Amino acid sequence: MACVPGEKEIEDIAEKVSGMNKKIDKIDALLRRNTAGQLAGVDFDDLNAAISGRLDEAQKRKTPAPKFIKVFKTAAVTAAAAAVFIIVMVNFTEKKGSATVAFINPSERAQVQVNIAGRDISRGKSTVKIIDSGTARKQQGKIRPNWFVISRAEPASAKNGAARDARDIACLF
Amino acid sequence: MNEAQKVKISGTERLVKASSRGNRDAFDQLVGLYQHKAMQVAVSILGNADGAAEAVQAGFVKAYLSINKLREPKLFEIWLLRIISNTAISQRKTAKRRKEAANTADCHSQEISTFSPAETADIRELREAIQTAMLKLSKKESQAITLFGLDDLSQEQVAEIMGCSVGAVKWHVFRARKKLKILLRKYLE
Repeated sequence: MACVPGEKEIEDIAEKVSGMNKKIDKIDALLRRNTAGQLAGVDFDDLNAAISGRLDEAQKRKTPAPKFIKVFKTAAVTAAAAAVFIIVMVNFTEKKGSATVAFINPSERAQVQVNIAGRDISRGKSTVKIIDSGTARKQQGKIRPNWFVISRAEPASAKNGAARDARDIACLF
Repeated sequence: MNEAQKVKISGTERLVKASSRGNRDAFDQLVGLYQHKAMQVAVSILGNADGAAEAVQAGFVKAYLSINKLREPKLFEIWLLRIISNTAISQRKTAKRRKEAANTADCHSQEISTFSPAETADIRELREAIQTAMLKLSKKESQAITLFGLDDLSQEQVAEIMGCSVGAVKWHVFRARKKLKILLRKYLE
């Protein structure tokens, strides 16, 4: 593609070249004759009718477009809001952890190891206190569950932190 | 600007405003007012009336669909000619293919049948030569020499349609003329 020179350079060229200020050049005259000849053969009534037909088609296509766009916009906004809501819920709702408990030393002062699947909660060992709540029923040969209380000291930051609820666990056996 | 032009512009402004509000009759009147000039531009760029008619129809549809975006109704003519010339430019590839098609010659047979066979052959040859030459110009050169050839457009208006400076328009016209003089030297003698 030809490089366009600067304004000053162009003005110089234009001054040197005849016919640059709307003066009819030989080539312009030839082009005009050709265009005029071709236009003489054009039926402008036919052209007008053809344009009108195309405009009718365009008008038909144009009319339902705003309704469609409105519905599409509403759907898009709803989808976007739902997506934002889901992201917020996933990120800001505390994950409910599932806990697995394993006895390390099954005795009255036993320890259990609790593994909690949850955010920033790691495995830890806690003291277990067994409350014997079923002695009478045991004597009758019946099984009744006992209460186990697992307690664990935790720093104040963890106690008051966002994950405090997930850390407070009571296991019922 | 003479009185007739002022009246035409004020009438155009009124029609453009009405068209922007969705008045189809007003736009049909604009089509009637500007279809000749639109064809003149498209024929000059494409070199044949059939391709030009297609470009003009497509151009008017584009204008109709976006007339509500035209901020200054008094600039309608410049805006429309920009659309028409850009549409014609973008159809140059189709025009090249059409020209290469075997039935190209038949397109003009009806229109020039009033001439003698020898004259008809000369006219057809000249048209094809001009069309071939115009398709060899760059898009800007083709647009510039076409719009520059319209009597009632000032150099500033041509520059505005093309989206460049008056100097750049002159430069493109200069280069187009130079190329065409070489390509069409046989017909200039």
